[in-house]
Amino acid sequence: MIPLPEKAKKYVLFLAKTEIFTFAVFWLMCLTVAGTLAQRSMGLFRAQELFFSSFIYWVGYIPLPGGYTTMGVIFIGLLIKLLFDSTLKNGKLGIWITHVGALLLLLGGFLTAAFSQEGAMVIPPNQTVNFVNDYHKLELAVTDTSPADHDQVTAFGAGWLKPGSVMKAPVLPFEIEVVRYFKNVRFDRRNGMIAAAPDLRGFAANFELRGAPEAKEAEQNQAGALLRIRGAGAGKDGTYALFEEMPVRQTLEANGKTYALDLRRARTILPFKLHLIQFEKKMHPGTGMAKSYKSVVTLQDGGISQRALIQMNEPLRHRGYTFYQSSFIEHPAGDTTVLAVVKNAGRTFPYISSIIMCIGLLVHLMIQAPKLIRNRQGE
Amino acid sequence: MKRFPALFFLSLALVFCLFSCTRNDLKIETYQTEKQPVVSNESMTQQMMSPQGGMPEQVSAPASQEPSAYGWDIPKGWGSEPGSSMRLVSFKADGHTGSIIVLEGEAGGLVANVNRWREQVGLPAQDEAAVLKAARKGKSALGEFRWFEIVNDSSPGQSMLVAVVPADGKTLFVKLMAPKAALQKNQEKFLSLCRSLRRA
Repeated sequence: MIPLPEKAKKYVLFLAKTEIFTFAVFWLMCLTVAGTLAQRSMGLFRAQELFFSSFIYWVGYIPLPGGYTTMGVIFIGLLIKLLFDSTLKNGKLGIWITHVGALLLLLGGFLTAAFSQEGAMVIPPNQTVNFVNDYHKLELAVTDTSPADHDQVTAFGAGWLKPGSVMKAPVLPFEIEVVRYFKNVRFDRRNGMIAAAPDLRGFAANFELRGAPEAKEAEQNQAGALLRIRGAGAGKDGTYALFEEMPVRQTLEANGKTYALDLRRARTILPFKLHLIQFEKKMHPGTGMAKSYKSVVTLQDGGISQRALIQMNEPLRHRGYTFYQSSFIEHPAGDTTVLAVVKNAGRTFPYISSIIMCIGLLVHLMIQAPKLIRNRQGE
Repeated sequence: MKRFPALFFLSLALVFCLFSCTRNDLKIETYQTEKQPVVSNESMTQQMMSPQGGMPEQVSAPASQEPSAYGWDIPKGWGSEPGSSMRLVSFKADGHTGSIIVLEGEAGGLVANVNRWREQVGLPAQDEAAVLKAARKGKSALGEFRWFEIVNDSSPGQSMLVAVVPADGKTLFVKLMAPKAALQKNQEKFLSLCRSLRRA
């Protein structure tokens, strides 16, 4: 136990009160039940965001602690108890070890929530890919396609995608204002009898974007945005419409360069590349259901090239990233492989903490067992 | 040590802020990538005039494993290829290409679309009454649909059969482009395809 100054004691130990810990655990159970039930109606991702990946959970105008706050209170309570208000005397070693295990479990959860990355890598046949598409987060990418040997990308994170946001970057000769943003979009062809506004460019001149009801599962939504470009020059300034998976990119020219605009899933650029050599799938006989599928890839990292096989339950691990065979896309020209990519700094914590907690309980049992036997004999 | 409580709570606040920052999406990144093909707005405008109800003809994303919300039966003897999110399927009828497209809402409206298709085969636009009169009706599990045989007798090489199937606040367009003789030969199969449309 670390000694505390008297003045600090009452403040610090307040956070380690058993009552607070008990209520927090009870509240976490309530959140778990509510979140599990809610995912049926609102979908997994939204339920997770609302109940667990939030500091505050609003019920109307009433703020209630969300998952992060609740787990934070539990973690701080346990930590303070362990550091300032526990002792190893009287055979408490086992309990102390178990608490350390529980703390590590919560710490792993924190690392996962704060730093983990999840997404998909889609590799068409004989193609090389070095980026991962996030499952949920979006970005607005402005790509200067003028250089002969590469594309210069400026990507604005999802936080910019709200009406009124103005995006600027030193490498861009224009600024982009978000006029409207839709989490899910539909579009209707503009009726030819009604003249479109003169500043509408590209797709926006022919189609009108409208908000659509959000799908239950967040991945099924197709986000869209109306963007106003300023500073690109006469005839190029104006309002552009973008939506996810647009079949043809919207482009504009400014300062003699061509820029492509994309609203897409946020990309994480990897320090290495994967090249798909071959994708193989086996189907259950007489059905369209996949029995097994695997990807043969070449991992290219710096000057090193290494062949690897990725198949169900046999992921590829490299530089903290894990690539799982997740799905595939059929195409007459050759199947495209879809790999689920995970980078999780807290990946090993559940295993380590479970082992530590088991050891703690075992130690506690070994310390307490002689006492129990003695008591039984005494009876 | 007198300031311990303040420092302690300040540290907690700092951890909270750092955690919030990791979830901040107001980042701007600049990086270089390998070149990707770009199709310009101009070519898109050309493609948007395609008869598929607005989506480009040439650009077709590969089919996804995601099941479509709709089902259909490709007639015997016709070939098919999976489509993209909006192009449900592409099919081949005696070597002539057709497709089923789904778009939100009325996709511009029946009259505007029919007149656009008429314009593509060199026919003049019609008013609503004439369009509705030219429409023939059929029925599928999705409900009643209208279908049109759009033929310019002075230029029968590019004719089309189109069915407009409203369903679930969307519109499905079934379209087959071919010379008039090929259309007539495949008309019954085309209609059987339209009648087979259903929710998956």
